Amino acid sequence: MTGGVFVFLEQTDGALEDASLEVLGKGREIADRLGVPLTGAILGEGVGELAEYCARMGAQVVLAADSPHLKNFTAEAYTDVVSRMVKPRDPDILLIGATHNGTALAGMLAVRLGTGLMAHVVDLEIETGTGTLLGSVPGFGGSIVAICKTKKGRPQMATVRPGVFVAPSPTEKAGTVEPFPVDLKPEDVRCRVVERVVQHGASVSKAQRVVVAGLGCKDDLSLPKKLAEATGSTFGVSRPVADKGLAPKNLVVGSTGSSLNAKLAVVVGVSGAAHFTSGLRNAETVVAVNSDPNAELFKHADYCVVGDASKVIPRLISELGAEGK
Amino acid sequence: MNLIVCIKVAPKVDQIKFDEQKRTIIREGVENEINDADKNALEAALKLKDSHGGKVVVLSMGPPSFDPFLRLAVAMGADDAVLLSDRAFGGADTYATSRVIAAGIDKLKPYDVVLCGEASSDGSTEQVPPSIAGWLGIPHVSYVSTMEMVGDKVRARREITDGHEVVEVMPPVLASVQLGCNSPRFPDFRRKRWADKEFKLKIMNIQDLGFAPGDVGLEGSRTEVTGLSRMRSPERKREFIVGTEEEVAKRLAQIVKG
Amino acid sequence: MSAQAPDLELRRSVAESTDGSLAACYQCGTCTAICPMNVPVRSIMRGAQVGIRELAVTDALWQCATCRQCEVACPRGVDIAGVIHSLRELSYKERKVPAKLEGALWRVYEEGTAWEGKKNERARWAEGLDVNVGKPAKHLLYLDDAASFDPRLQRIAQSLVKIFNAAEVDFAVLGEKEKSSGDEVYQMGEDGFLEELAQSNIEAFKGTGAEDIITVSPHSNGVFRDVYPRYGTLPPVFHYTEFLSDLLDKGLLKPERANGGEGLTVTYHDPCYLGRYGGVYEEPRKLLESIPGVKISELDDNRSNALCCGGGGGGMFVESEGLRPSHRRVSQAEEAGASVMATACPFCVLNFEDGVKTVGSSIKIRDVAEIFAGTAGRGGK
Repeated sequence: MTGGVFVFLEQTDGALEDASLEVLGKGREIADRLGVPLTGAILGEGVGELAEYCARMGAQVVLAADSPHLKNFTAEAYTDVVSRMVKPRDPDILLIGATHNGTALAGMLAVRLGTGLMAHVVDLEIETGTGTLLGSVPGFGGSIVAICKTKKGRPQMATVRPGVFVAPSPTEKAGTVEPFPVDLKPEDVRCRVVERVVQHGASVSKAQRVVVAGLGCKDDLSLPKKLAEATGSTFGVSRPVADKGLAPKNLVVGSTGSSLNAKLAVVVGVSGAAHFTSGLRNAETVVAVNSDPNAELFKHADYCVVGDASKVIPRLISELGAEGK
Repeated sequence: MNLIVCIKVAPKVDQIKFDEQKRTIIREGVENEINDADKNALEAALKLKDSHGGKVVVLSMGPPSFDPFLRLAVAMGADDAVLLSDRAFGGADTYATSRVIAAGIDKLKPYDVVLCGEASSDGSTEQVPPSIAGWLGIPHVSYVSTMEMVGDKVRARREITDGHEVVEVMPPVLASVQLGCNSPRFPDFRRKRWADKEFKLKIMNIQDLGFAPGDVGLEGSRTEVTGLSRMRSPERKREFIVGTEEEVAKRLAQIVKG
Repeated sequence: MSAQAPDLELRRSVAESTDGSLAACYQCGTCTAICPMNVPVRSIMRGAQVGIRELAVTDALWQCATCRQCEVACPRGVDIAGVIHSLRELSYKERKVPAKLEGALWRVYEEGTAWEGKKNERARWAEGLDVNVGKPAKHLLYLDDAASFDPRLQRIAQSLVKIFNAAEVDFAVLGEKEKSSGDEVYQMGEDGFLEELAQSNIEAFKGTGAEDIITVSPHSNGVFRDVYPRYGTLPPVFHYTEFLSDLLDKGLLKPERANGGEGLTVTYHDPCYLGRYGGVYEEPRKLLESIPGVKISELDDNRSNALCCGGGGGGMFVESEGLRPSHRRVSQAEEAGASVMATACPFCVLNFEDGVKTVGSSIKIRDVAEIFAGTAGRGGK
């Protein structure tokens, strides 16, 4: 089967990345619009089940490359395998979720395939008449968007910012899984992962509700943590709080940490410097509590409360408790 | 160790204005700076040199106006600097940019580690470092926070979502370095005076790199921009909730429950 | 400690920078006892005298707020702040500097400010105000970084504009062209970039044709007075309290009644860089007492014995919250029975605002300019 839309499906420690599901959903939409097939590719060790799942989610064919050499992501091994999948199939469009690894893969793959890559797109459209893929690429700190297209080379490649599109629903007719032979030798995998520490569980970037505590909490995180519990939220912190050793770095929200995709973010005692507020961009509703009426954070919030967190938060907790959640 | 650091000189993002009428970016009067993440990359390289000895060369693709910034990098401690400059290189997308930079790096063989910042403050595509690695045929390790040599291997710590990884790889390797992972050393101003007045910057043009015009710049790009628009950051309501402590708490509870 | 050869270069370097002042130290330890920032001053002095690098070039150097309270207490007149500075220069050469201060250095170089802020936003504080930006005038009002960018501190300059306009003072500000005084650069022990910055500022000041420079922050005074003369000649520099005191003497100021006529008990905190460094103690008090209804109640430890807020010497950029004595000072203000603690330094204002929150006090923190412009008393926002 040649032509069509090709989607790279990333798995991490046996779980599919949300970004990959989102891209699969959009890929499905584009393939249907163009009337072309949709192929997915999944790499790793023991990926059979995940491949089956993706086949139910809209991919007509899912190529599953299973090998211990693919267990951890390495750019060179993944680029090698995906390019060997793509070349003979000659798809029109290739989409990858812009996770850390997806971005690294896409850059190397685009050069291997000699094609144009639109990075971190926040929208994808098919140009009427030409059927060309148009990507909206943000730049200059995110304030300006460039509409781009691949002018030379195939497939037209794009990495997609996580959280922009939605995951697909299961299709009536499931697709098929095709095992893809992996011919890698140990020396083909140049990067050896010697240690890997990942805290699974509440992820700040994936949480629907987050309470973020900043330095304004005066080193006492017990109140914001209580609020997080009372509201069923994941707990996060601003960078300076983690730097002080009061919370682990994986809870950091901001440009050096996680971007929030939450429906509700309650931010307590954070002044709101640019490197923090960039992490709030995709949060739907932001509530800010700060004792400084001129806090920069208020410019990036929907609801603003000027007050002492040590008074506001306990009141809020008891109010929530009184009426039940 | 032979270390090469790719730096981008980018416009200060806060000074950029957008012409709503013409739908173009207004660059006049905008000051440039060394991309912050590339400063982190240079610091990482200088730290490796401090521990293991060797040479650090900075490399950039751009017009002659990048000259003072390369000298600034030398003032920070780089031993040498190369500017890849030619009219033909202009208008390049990440494909054509990475191609030219890779060719420049190739001319500086042999090298052990190539370092780049993970992304630039203006384009922020994060695509150039892996693409360079693709052209050079070397492995790429991304989001590196610290690096050291263990025997003859490079050991790098990568920061990933919800955790970290430690990776070992034989050089040559390209490492893209995480923004803010270290504190870039302030330039030595005595060295800067020497760098500004006496240091000889090496310049390579299209012939030096052996390219035809169609390979590079706008012509050699694989993508093109068909239009620009302003992206509205989510318009926040900025509604201040005032009242007694009780009233505020009740309103907040309402909002929280959605 | 194992036997080791003394670091003669260290000894020589410190002795040279401080004109041999350290030789007088006889290790009594009064400095360590009195230091509000818990710096092990005595052992640092010992390390520098003898040449023991680990004692002298230590992380504790960066806890020092350069307040000079140790010098007031020192029975031998040792130039302790000078020794600390000389050791910081050595520390800087070895790149043993706090990361936050190094970041501030880059900001001064790239954006002209040590405080977080962008060069093209430096004049935002003046929007909507009747103030001469960039045109020649008799007096140049110089804000420096913190007062230009920090929202709490912008009120000080705004108050001064109001006072100056009421007194018809011919003054101007540099606006976006104003650059950092370089105090943080100096405090870090860097002198290569400092030279360029100082020379550039001296040129800029000359270019305004102003007769004198009036500063908002005593820290600007400190570096202009003590450091800039190495690089060129500045016009005379005054802190605004000195200038206003002069205007008061000439009958050009008409202070409004404070606090809506109810009268106000105010206490005044002597900023280290205005008092101990600048010798300016009485002018701010004179200004406060000239306001009808204001009564001053002195703090314990006043004038040359004032207790530092912890902000000098780069202290505003270094994480030492647990160590800042600003909380203690707020408690002293409560003991003095004051409803307002007045001061005349932007760093003191910020540290005391923090102190008030930590201690849970209802005392208002106001800069003298704010009180004088009639914005103190009830609320004053």
